[in-house]
Amino acid sequence: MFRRLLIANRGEIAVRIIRACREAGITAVAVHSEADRGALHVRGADEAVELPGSNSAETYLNIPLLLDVARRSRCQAVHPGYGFLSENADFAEAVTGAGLVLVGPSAPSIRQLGDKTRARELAQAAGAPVVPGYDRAGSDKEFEKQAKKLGYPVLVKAAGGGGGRGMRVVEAASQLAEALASARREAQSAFSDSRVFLERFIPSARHVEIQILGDREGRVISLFERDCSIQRRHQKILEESPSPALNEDLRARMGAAAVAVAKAAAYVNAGTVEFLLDADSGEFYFLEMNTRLQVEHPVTEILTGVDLVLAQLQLAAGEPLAPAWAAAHPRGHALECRIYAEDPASDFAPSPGRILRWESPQGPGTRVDSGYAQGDEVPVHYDPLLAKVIVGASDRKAAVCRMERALGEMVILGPVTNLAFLQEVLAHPVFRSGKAATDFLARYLPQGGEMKPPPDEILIAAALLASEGPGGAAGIQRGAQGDGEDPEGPWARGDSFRLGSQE
Amino acid sequence: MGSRGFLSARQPGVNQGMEHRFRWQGKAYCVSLVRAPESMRAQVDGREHRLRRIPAQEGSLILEIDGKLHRIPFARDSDCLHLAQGGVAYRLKSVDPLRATRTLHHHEHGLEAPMPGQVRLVAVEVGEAVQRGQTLLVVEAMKMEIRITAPEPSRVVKIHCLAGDQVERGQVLVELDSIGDNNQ
Repeated sequence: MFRRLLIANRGEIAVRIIRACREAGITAVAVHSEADRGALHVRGADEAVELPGSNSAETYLNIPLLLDVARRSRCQAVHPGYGFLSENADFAEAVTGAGLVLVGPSAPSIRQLGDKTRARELAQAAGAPVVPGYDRAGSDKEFEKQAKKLGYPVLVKAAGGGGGRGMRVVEAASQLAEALASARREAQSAFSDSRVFLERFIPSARHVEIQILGDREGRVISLFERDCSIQRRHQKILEESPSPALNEDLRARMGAAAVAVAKAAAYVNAGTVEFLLDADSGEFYFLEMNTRLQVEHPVTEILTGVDLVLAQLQLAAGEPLAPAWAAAHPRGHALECRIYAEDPASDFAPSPGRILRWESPQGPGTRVDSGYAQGDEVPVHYDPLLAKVIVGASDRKAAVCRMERALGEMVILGPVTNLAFLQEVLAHPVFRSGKAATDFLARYLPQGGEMKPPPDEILIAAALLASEGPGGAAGIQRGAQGDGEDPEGPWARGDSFRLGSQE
Repeated sequence: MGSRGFLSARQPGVNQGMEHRFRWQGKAYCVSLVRAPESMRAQVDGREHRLRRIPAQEGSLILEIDGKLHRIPFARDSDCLHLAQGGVAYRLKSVDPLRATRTLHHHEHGLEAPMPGQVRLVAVEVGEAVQRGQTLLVVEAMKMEIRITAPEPSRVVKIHCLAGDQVERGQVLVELDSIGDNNQ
């Protein structure tokens, strides 16, 4: 096993990897941008190296600089996390070329699967069905012709990567040109690759993915599914396992298809094969294979008891699949909610800023993977994921109740978050029934949910705080001669409302 | 103040009353706190509540309101109170009634940046007529593209940014003049 590992990432996933390192006795070397100076992953690491600059391109995406840091800090391996360089074949090649080990699959596997159009071909060859689409280069005119052939709505997708970046649903031919241009710009910015392709848009499908592990001897196992149907803008916000839409037969067939795809790509390490599932017909289609650790990996960890990051480290060190992993079976039900610094009422616009107060939920079956703590600044430069809350319970109903309890305990003040929105999702009868498909949010909570006005207790608390707050409060004391000239206001003097003093 | 004496008239025995106004999502809320000899009372939009405050750690309030306990973590920043309950956060703006008219003065027809970010694209020109929903600008932040669209049929009066500009949240990016759709 390695003694020193470079973590080429930030936020909650860097913290997660540091924890795995500590348990495995590996020295964790973190990197950070100027904006992330003092970030949680820096505070938790054994060693940290600052990368000059703050935008991703000059820091977390800077291959030569990262390799230089790895060499100078005498690391033997590099963990890319998710996002950033995690699915970049050039990076994988450069890491190996520098005599280091990448905690992930080989560069050829990443290249083959990371190119979404080549991955479609590979999956077809391995016997996995794919969504009808058009995946060749062409002029806008050609795309227009092909889109018409597929039938609207169509999906414009980036060939270079996933995560909803560079992805657009196009309802009509008149919107295609703008969608192509905007998707290409976003894809270029996110993946340095502006190629896009078309797929028929299946509006009411479920998103079900299979977690796999592969070793260097060519063995691949499935660690079952995660259902990620609750998405906004094609970005997952809630994941669970088992999927309410699978029965044993379907689970076995999808698992076998995923393993076949991974084997066809000579896949080593942890990976995820994503499928669209038409829950009514039981038909499923290969979407893509993610050649990295997923954001939602803790769902599988809670369900199976397999530590996926530790498994990644062992597989990267050349160890074979552990018998315990192959013998793992699902226990109960696991659920994850992603807490984002974004405003559901403003079309999910990111909401960076200082975290004024933070309290994490605790208690039985409750795990929080967080990248921030109280007092931290959420920078504008990166993905707005703040934390993930993961729960495990005996069955789906108990897991949903546990998640509601956990989210109710969570406090994040400062940036606007999607916490209240997630609670609306959990409370929704369609979600409760286990029938939510990928169009769930657009269909049932289209305006980002319903903002409930502050209840009386919040207003009363605010009034109490205003009456005693620093900087003078806005209030009128009946009978007082507030003349508006006193800079502190009439309340700066008085303390007649310090209620606690009476108790 | 026309309402002076209001509380003492409604609440015999009350020696002081204090009124607080807040704004949340553009709506105004008014809370009166009243300290009577025996207990504390609050009035919210005419609803009366009895309250008792229980000592709490810094950064949170514990209030017993009409016999029910509420723990409310809070924080302050320069112009807002942030309060949380049951996993829901509220950002309340204190309104100083003496200055209320100024607080309420908005850029009626200006479109503001929803978040700090970089302007990727300016899709319109000054003088151009735009339709409702038409893209005016594209702002990128945190690797997402956010389209700033026209809320109603309008004419572009002024553009305050160029592609590539870094903009702050709340910064006015475009000014529009609405065009009534009363064209015969």
